[in-house]
Amino acid sequence: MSSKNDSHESKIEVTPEPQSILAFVDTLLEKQGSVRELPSIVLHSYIEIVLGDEVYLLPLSVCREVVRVGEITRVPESPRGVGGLVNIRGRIIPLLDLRVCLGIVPAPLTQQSRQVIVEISKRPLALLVDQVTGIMKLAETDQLPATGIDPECVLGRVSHDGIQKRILSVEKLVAVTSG
Amino acid sequence: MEELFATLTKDFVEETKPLVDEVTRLLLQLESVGLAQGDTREIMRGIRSGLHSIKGNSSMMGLGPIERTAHGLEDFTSWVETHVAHDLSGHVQVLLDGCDVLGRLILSTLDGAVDERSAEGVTSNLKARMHGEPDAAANPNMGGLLGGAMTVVGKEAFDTPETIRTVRVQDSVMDELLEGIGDSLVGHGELQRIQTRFSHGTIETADIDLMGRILDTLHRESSRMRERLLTQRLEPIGSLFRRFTRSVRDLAREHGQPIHLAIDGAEVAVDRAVTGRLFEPLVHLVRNAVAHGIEPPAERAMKGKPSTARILLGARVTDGRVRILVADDGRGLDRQAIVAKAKNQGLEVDRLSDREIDRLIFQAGLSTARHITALAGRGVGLDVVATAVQSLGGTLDVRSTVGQGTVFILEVPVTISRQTVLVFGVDSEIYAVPTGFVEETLLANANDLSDVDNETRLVWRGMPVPVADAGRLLGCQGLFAEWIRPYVLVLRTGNQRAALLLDWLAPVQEMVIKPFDPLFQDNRLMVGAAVTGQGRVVPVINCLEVVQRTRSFRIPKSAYVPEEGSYHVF
Repeated sequence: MSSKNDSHESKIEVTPEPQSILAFVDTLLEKQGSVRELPSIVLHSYIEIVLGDEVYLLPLSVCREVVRVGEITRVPESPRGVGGLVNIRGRIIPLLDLRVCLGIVPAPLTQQSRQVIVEISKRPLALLVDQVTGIMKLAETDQLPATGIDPECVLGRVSHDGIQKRILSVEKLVAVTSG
Repeated sequence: MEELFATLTKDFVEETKPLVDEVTRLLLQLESVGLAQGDTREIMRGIRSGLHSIKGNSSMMGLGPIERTAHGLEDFTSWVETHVAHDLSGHVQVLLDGCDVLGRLILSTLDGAVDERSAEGVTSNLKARMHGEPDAAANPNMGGLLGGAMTVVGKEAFDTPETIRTVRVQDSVMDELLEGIGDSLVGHGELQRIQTRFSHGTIETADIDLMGRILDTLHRESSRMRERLLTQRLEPIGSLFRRFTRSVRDLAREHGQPIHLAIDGAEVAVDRAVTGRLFEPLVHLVRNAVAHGIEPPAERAMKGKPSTARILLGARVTDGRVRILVADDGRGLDRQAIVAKAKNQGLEVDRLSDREIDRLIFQAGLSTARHITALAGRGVGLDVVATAVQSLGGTLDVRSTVGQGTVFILEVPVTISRQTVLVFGVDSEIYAVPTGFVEETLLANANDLSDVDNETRLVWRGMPVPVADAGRLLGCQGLFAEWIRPYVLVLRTGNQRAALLLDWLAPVQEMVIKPFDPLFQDNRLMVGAAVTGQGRVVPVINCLEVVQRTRSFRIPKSAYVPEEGSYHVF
């Protein structure tokens, strides 16, 4: 189990203490020669999406699936950025219109529009995007900091294929929409 | 190896967290029995035994900090047994705070890290107490252990415990379910044979009858299995109510006002899915009772009320519905303040009875809190209660007597069931209304609409009823047929009625209404959504709010008003 990089509190790793039963099991397994690997460069996967003229990256860890856009049911008096509700295999899920959330001029749906279904704190959400262009892997070292003009939900940028791609935090996106 | 540890951790939390809850419950009992000079030995034994088990479990998992905390609390409990004569409440508070820390530490193992410092904080403070130094060095990391951090106590008192939830299913029920599924599969097989005969062209009329019988059996079996499964989720509502014993006690201490929580009808069995959705609403109601309802001790003395205020959580079941009461013997609702606030918001309040004035408090924005304390939180909790109760298919009412107290009455189904709703359409959108609020549906007739003092009213059964165009009320785009819609829906909540003009109505159907994701928690117009058989999502309207808004609906000057003598037929 990895410890959290939290400098404010002294949290220790939950490693079994010598006299516990787990330590005993641990030594048994070690005797059988289980190998401890040293972590090499950490790569993170992202789903690449297009909104207007810009490319954004969504962490793959929160994404569950990508589906075409069906009927979107409007809910009166929703917060800005919430497009409405959608039915994904019988589950009623809120839809966030990412263009609205990021302050990009809204545009009509096209054949390529997609919903990226994500899950944040056990809550499923649908994110409406213009296009899903693929999956890419990034090393943490490739990540550049966000610039002053980027909205709060942009965690950072990366330069790839000659274009600037912005890394989005879905949690922050939802928090900002909730107001 | 790490996977093994993760599984064991989950088991550890599942087994040990309830032990902490049990010790907490016993501590509260210890306090009330002890203060009444009763025999506390049995309770003490229970507490020590619980802490001992927690210690043992933690030791087996190699969780030193937790083990040491439990050990410290166990020693302290023994010490209290010999020193119980003085400051029992203080000691109990220390133990309760220690249990809070224990609970947090246990849950934090799921995240893979244990806060060593808060564990140490507890043990060193306990040692100091035992050596006669009651106010050991204040350590801000201990989160309320010294009873001084009041906002933390207030918030934590209501935190929802995040334990892993499981249900115990009796063997006999498992057998029944398997049998039911077996029968369904047999029916499936027979349908397949019929399908084959159909494709070979050898189908007979007898097969149609057979199909009918199979469908009946399948429906019957499925319904029965659903019922049986739902009963497995039933649990006594007392477990929901008892979660408030601790919170009320903490709130009472913070408020400096003794409050006794009485629980009635704890044995009433309710679907856990229902009680799960009632926790937050009840939190709001209890908070409101303590923050707004109950008077400070001086005021109570002046009124000749007993110094200990009383809050009641009660339940009664009738006919598949459970009626829950939240009552307090405080000052009752301040009707003048409600009326003033309502007038301020432009609501029509003349000619309202006392009961109708009381029900105004369920409208968003009508909280009469003069200040938002850390205790009352957002201050506008009652509209949230109304939404939650309505999304369960329930009703909410309030009765109050000035100077004597207030009772909130929630009526909800015993199990999460399908509710009968009326689906209606306006412009290109569809919405649903639970049939409990529907008084009547009828064809619109321009002759029935009349304009009095710039207020449009529908004359319904001889009475003027506030009326609104549903499209405009719900903010639909592209209002084309405003005010010339063919249908009228008359709604009723309590004693108030309102009429909505709509484009079409669908036959009444049954749907399961799901509450909204937290993104919509501030939404006043809707309570949840359901899915139709065709897969369309239908938002369900908040009837309390809609009826209220219709009353203050003003027809805009630019809207088209039907000419006298003409009417439209769908």
